[in-house]
Amino acid sequence: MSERYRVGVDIGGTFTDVVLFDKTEGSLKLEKTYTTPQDLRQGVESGLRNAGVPFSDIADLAHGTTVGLNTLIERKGTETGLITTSGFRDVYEIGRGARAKPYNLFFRKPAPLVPREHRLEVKERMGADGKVVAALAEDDVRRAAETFRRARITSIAICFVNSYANSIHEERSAEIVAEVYPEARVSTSHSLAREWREYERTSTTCINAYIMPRTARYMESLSKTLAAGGYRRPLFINQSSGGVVSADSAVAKPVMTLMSGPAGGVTASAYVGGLDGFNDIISFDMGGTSNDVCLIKDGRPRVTADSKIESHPVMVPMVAIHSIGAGGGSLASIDSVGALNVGPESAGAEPGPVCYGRGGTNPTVTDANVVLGRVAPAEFLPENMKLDVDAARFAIREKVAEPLSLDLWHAATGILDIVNVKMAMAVRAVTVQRGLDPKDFVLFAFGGAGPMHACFVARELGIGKVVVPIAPGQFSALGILGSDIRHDLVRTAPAGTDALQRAFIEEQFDVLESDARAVLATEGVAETDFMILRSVDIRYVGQEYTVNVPIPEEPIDDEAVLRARSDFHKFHEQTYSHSKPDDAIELVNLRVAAIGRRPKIELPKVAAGKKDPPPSARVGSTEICFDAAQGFTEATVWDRRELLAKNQIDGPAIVADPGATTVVPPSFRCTVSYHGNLVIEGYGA
Amino acid sequence: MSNKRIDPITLEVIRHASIAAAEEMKTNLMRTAHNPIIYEVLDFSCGVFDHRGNMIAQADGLPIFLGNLSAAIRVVIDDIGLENFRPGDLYLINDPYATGTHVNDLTTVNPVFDDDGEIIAFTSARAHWLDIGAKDPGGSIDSTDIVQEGLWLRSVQLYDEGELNESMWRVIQYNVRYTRSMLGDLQAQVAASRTGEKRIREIFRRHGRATVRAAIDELFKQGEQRARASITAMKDGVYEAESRLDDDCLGNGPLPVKVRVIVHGDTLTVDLTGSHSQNVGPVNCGLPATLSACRMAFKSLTAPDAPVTEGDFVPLELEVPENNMFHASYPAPTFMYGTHLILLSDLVMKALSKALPDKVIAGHYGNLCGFMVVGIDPRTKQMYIHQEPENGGWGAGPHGDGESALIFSLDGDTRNIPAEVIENRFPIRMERHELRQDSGGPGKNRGGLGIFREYRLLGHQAHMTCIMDRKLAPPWGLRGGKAAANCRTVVNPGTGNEVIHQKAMRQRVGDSDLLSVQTGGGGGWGDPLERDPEKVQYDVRAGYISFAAAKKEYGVVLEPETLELDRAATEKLRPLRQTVT
Repeated sequence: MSERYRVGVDIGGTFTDVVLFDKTEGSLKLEKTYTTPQDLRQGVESGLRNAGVPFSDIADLAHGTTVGLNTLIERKGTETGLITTSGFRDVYEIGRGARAKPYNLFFRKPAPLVPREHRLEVKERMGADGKVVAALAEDDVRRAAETFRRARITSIAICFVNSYANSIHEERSAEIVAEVYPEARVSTSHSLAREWREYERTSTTCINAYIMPRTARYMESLSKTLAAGGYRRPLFINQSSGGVVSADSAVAKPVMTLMSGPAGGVTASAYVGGLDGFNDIISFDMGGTSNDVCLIKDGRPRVTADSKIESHPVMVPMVAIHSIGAGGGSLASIDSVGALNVGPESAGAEPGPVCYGRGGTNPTVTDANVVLGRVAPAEFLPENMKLDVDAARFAIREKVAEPLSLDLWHAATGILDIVNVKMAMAVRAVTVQRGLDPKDFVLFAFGGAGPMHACFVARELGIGKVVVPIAPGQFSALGILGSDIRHDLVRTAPAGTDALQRAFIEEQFDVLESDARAVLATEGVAETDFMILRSVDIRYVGQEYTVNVPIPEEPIDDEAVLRARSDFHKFHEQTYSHSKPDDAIELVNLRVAAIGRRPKIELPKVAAGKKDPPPSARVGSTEICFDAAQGFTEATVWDRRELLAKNQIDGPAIVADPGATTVVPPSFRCTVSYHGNLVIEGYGA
Repeated sequence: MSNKRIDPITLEVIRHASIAAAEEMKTNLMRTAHNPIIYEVLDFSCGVFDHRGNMIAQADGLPIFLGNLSAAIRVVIDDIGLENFRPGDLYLINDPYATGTHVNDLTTVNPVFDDDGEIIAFTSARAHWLDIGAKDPGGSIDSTDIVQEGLWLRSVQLYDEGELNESMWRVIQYNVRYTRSMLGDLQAQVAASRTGEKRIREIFRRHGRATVRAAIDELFKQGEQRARASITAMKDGVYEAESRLDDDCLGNGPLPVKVRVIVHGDTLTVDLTGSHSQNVGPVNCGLPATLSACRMAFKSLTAPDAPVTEGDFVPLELEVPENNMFHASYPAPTFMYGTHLILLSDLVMKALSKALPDKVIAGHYGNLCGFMVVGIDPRTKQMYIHQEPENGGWGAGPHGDGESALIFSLDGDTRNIPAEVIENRFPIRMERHELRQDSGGPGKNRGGLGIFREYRLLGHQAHMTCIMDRKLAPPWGLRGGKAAANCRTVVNPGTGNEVIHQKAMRQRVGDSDLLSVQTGGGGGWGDPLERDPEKVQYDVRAGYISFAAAKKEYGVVLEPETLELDRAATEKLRPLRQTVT
């Protein structure tokens, strides 16, 4: 049977995760292989091979990539040139002038990806109203292109002041560069982010240009490899917004894919949560080095176009992930006056935790978990992995317990208490900033370490429910597999005060929507699968912050305008605790999310069982320490693959899964849902 | 004091919970404030304190607020008496002489009680009020006494056991402009204080009073130990530095600032004897703000990234004579308190550069550098105000060149306004936003560059105000590095009717005028003649310095056409330049 599999792939720093959905049987296959940094394609290929699925049987393949992000972080991009408006070549170096670390005398802004001598000015000027103030000096553009050609600069960014209001000068300049220097790759600011704020837009454009050659080569070669193996469909790439696009589109806009992998986990949380009726969710992804949390309200992840990556502003839609340096590899250390710190420094993939036996000598969060027995039995660990518990004990005793005059168990539980408090602070940050109470949310825990820590973090915050979803170790890949196609279009409305007028909005949206439909059509989406979501960013006159308000798809009549106004005041009240219905408001951005629906995967249901799990699920028991004063207690150990819906497990228990270990502490009860998710609730004290 | 020994894990948990409480207060205030000066300029500060007024954790918007909330709490405790506070009370204070800055900074003081009715803590939120009832909207840059500067409140009770004091509310309501916004901000401050109260009560309930008090004492002790250790590491001695400001905004000046830092064992004293007396114009502040500026310098040199507690500053002492611009008393005006504190903080570091050669950078452009245009928009006939503090260059240090175009030390996460936003909002066009060539002080490591920001008004006339100091004593170099260019505003630069302004009040300007804001750079570090000629060559190629400056300041000769380095000529020129200077 041909094309029976849908595939999601996520390439992480250590592992490449592959999830296959068998449309015929309605079943999932999970694969994990080592990432091959020299040639990332190999990891993908071997993941698919291990699953025993020929490429020709794949219906579609969607992919989360870290190539763009790594290129930026490691500064391994292509030498890039910038063409900009006369008088403004330093906008990119000046930035916004803020000092994020106010007491650091040596604070540096991110070094520009394009040095000053490669930032060339041309005479042109657009007004804020979109009217030409000074015509484009085309010879200046030709000269700039010639200069870059001579300097062998092959990627060129173009960003002009006020091009968000009128892009003709950027468009014409791109044409001229293509004539003069056809081998160069060109990125124009208006095609990436048609929003005001010239520094952020320039930064976005320069990142795109800087990473494009490398990301393009990668996507093109992966497409070729897949095609050579018999795959006949387009390769889809996950974007930071949580929607996929075809590799053909992604090649030109790699800046949209920087958070490709983590966005998959958020999408998956919203989708899998929805199946069990959870719509208000905090996704909680804890891996080796970081803890990423994101707010999902009414089933929709929060998306923002105002983010920074490695201090570089990126003005494209991204799921609003708040990340802190807390993971399994976070190091525990003691400072000069005897205070115990955990993270943000990490042992990383190399050497990793002490217990991995790869040369690490400083104790980590994982070592503390291992010492306290909060791990799965050996048969659930990846191949060739053995945990050296003695080495972990030695490191914690020597580096933490003895200097602080604590016993080993207090030291180990202490390390975990501290990292859990820090993660609880991160969760609190994403909720209280929006005026929300974490207690009203479900904590969705995944990633290698998330399910080990989630119950403790939830207890810290008073959160009543933790969900450890299916495939917690490959959750991002699962999310990517199920994502819809999505293109985000935006236009800052060049309008002054109180311009929330029907004709104006309608005209602008018409333009955006016809662009949106065109782009979906080129992705091969059938018209019946189009979904166009309109929204506007509104604010009170004089404010910087905006509130995003959805606008109905049908023609905008007076009633719709009124509704948008009152929704704005309402959302403002919800977020900022006050609103001023009599004050003037102004429109800032019009946004269209062009969504091409892909078939939702019907996640396999788990057969229903009784309250008591089947005997086959019981693996045995182990000794775990939850409270240093009370020592070790006996905990049951379960094989997650054998559990049935409605099964209940009371803590203390371990639910083991090849991807991740779930710790159910005493006074917590774990119930298996029909979709195989573990729903864990605290009871009693 | 508690004798209970605290275990290090509980200590960390309480530390993080306290920081989280302060951060939540900050988030709450930013989220609910009405005025951009709070949520964009970040002119506020929030914190949690023990029952004696010692800072347990603080979340600042601006670095200059480092620790002067404690002063406000202690004054209110003294005025009211600790035994007279009741649960649900909340007090207000903005007395600049007692709390530091200016009357626009209004502080709440919220006592916190545990379930047994014992007073356990205070929470406090300070925010800059856009208007507090001065003679001019917003505040007066030419005031000559405090009463001209607005409503003066000291230990005034706003809530009495949870009941709003409506008389007090009306006093405020009828004495400030933009009433609704101001009262909205006051509510936001109260809400932030109550949020902190709730969190502190949770911490005490969870761990018990004795444990939390022991933890707080231990936090202070650790902070004090760290601070003493970093002072002990400095060589004992008296370190001096001095500079001056141009004037007090009313033309009186120059104003000398003299700093003596005495390092003795594990204590550090800053003595400002000899600094200028209390000014007629509003360049003054109360002692607590002076202490904050010293703390800012101390923290920058010792533990720039660590959270702070009261303990971190125990070994830091301050001596300032009365009737001094750094120790003002009634009736001194204090509205323009910024620039002299920026200079003070830089001077404390300059003085310590001999004790901490690896940690101190040359002077930065160090200036409020305020620029404002007020006019009537010809399109809408509405009044508009465009104002912002401008950024500039930072000093070079032992490890490298200074950074260009960053906001001054007293401000932190304060951003400039994009040209595209300005042009959309106001009838103004920006014609240039560029680094200012040669504005960084020459040095082996070059100072960071200031900027040009050039505006033209579109089809109307307006008033321009600018406040730029440090002309007489521009940002200094260190270790043989040279001074940087200073800030200024030039109207119609390079033309027959060029006018240079340092401080201009409501100057009339029209649409034929080009308004060029030119900010200062940072000082250089080390002898410029020792700068690697290839770095000088790169700076010329990139345009950070001019061809002429390469030769004059750095003794580096380049081929005029190709900018190739002429090594022979350079090696010949450099010793000559040395003897000249």
